[in-house]
Amino acid sequence: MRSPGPAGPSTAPARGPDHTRLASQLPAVYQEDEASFAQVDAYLGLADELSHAVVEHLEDLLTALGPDATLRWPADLPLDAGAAALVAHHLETYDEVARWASVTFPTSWPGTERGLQQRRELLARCTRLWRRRGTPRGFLSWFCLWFDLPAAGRPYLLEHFKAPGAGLTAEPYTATLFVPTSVPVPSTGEPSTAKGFVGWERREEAVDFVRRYAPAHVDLRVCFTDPAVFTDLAVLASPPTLPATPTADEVTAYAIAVQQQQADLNALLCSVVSVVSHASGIHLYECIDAGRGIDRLGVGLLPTDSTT
Amino acid sequence: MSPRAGTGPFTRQTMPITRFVPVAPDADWETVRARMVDHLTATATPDWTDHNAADPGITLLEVLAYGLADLHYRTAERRLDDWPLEVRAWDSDAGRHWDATLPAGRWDPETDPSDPALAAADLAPLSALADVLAAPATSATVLEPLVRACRSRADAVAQLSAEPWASAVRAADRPAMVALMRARLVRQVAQEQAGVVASAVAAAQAAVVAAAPRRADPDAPLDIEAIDAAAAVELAWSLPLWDEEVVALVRRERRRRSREVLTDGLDLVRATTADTLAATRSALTLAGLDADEVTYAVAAAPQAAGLLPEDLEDEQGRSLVWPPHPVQALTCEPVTADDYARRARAHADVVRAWTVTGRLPGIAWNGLPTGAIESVAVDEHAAALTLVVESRTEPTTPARRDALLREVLTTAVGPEAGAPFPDWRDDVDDLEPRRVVCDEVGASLLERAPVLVQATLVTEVGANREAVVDDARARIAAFFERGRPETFAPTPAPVVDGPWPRHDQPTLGWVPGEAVRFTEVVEAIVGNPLVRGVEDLAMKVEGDPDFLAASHGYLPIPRNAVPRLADARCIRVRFSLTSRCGDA
Repeated sequence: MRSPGPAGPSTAPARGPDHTRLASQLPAVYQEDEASFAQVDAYLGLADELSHAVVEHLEDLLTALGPDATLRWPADLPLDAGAAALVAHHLETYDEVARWASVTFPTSWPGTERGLQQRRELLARCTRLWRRRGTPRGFLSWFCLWFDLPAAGRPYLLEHFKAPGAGLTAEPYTATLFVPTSVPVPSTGEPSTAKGFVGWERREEAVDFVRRYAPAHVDLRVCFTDPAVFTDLAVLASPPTLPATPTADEVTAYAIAVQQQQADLNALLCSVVSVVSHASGIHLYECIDAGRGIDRLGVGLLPTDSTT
Repeated sequence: MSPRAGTGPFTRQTMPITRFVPVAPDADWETVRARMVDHLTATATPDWTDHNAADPGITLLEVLAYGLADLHYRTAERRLDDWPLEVRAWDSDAGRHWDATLPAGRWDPETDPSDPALAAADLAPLSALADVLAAPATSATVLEPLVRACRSRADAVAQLSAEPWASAVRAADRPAMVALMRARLVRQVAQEQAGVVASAVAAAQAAVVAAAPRRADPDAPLDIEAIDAAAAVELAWSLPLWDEEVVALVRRERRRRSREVLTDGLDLVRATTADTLAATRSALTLAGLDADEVTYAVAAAPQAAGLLPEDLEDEQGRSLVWPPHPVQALTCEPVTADDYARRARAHADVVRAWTVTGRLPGIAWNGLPTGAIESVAVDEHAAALTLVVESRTEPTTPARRDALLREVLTTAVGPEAGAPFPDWRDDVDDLEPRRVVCDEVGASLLERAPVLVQATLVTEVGANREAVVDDARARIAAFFERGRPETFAPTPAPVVDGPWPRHDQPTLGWVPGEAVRFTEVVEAIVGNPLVRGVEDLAMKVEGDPDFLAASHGYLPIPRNAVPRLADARCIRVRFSLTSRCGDA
């Protein structure tokens, strides 16, 4: 390591320019006549322009090829290219970055600036989403990002071992995902047309998401429900908790409350009359043996588990 | 990102991003020049006959060849060793680049595109800017020269506050628009005057260092902001930029120096262990990195000491370095039984921990003692997992035992042992519970199953019976305590370990639930040379109805228990009268 000296950082070594104009490289005789040199400089300026863009691209390499690409105007895009070209450029960049990160963007995400923001978020969070994809909150987090859900539209995941009963609820490794069908628009309170699960297509996508991303050994059914359920049900409002250092009486009371909670939750599960069952094992949507493994979030390959 | 090519831990991995290494037709200046001259000779107009070096056209061609070869060189030499400090994702959007950034906006789930209260420019600020710059009346072609001609940012913003831009660009977006119009100029000056800026910063810093002995505390870190401000003032006289743009150029130089500090100290960072982490941080601080840079610089090591994925992510899980570190990308939250056990070993009172199937006596997933309610009854065949833990201190009462197991469960999985019905809708980004969906995880204290060993030992005539029996019992007890030799082998550390701190299982000791093989007990007993053989060997766990004979092969041990020799003495000795090997 460079020795910093007693009082702080050292001085840097002499540094040359990152780019020198091509005209400056010409012999001195070319610079004797100012007007002629200006003409030559302008002529070579075309090449200078391209060189500047390359040097800039090299300097900002990891920014331009990462989630923060949208923070910079692309070095190789004219300033008057227009919004469509700008968005298309960034979409192409994000697709390239996603290939490196082995992430596939949902096809339902729009090719708009809103879609760019979603893609940026996914790229920035892709490692944690991948790492936590099997945990309850990790699964929900990925679901909410995929479907652009606000807090009011988040689904409720109920694992059946927490509400045991008869039938499916007695089966191990089964769960129900309660998905609110509608989400209110912040300013009007009316159901949003962009969010929620009113239409068939979006519901189908939710079921497909569960089929892809729920752990393969888990039978997870999806239940589209009125969002009022989450506010009306007391069972969700005040679940029992155990004090940090409980007395025997508190443990007894807690046991009774847990039993009651389980019974209430089981009643909720049994009130579901129409479900779309996950009922599946391993789902492979792409051949993991064909060339380089991609789409870790979907296929299950670990990053860099590539065969090439 | 790809580290340098060569040997080392990286060579066994596939790198998702590889450094560009130029090959033909990318080449050095002479090769490029020769190709261009060849092309020129073949295609130039017949009037151009002088292709010698003295010809002005050839001179211009050589300059172009130089420019091209220079780009080849720069591309080939682009290093990524300092990658943790390149994209400053820990900073706000505006601070991530040394120059101004665009108002790209972040994904906000609470924003509803169908909300009529939201203006189009609020939803798509970049598109709004780009459309303005593409419109004929307000195009970049018109605006850029106007902004470049302004003497200050205020003048440029005032220019945008007049028509036709006033009605097209929101007031909040005008500074960003001005910065965008100036970006090419600022970049050009930054590239061409990099040496001048570096010299100014170095001079300002040298002046402060020279004055160090006169400071109240000469050893105190330098005031970097003051140094940079002084350099900017100096440069403002010579660079054709606004003051804030000169400050940006100094910021660029400062960040470049930080990356060079990391590159210079790369060997130190990579050799850092948990013990030397503090020293490394101090060295980096002393070398001029700020607190944030020091925090993320240690990520330059492929397996950084004590580095957890969460250290490199914000609360929502966004990576603060780009590309993400291997500990973020190559690790996974619990997927195997060993993962739960490893997390349980993080508890201070836990010596060893295992995960076994079934719901065993102890604490269930909801914090209740197993059996307290019907749904958490003890059931070895339940589709549940139980953490079997060996405690440093034996709990004296059931209440203390339960409290310990709840703590262990909380350490391993999360707070569900005390709040078993969380509404995960409140915060989907929280890290807990750290368990797989639908995994029911409980905890049980390691039990010691007393094993009665019944046998007749065959010895030579005259051997001390008491001593032989005591020796046999000691050998069996030691075998139970030590465990099988195959459990001693330590597991090799993976190249990338995580996502939690490593807590290795002690390699000695019996593994809970492993059966005791009769042959192994015999092997332990006959370790005494006085013992010629073992007859009528039978064993049972205390409390079982019957002894199992040696013909059974093994003695089952409960899943949450390890064997220990019971106090009862059931071993007797018989003298061998024949001295034949048949007795053994």
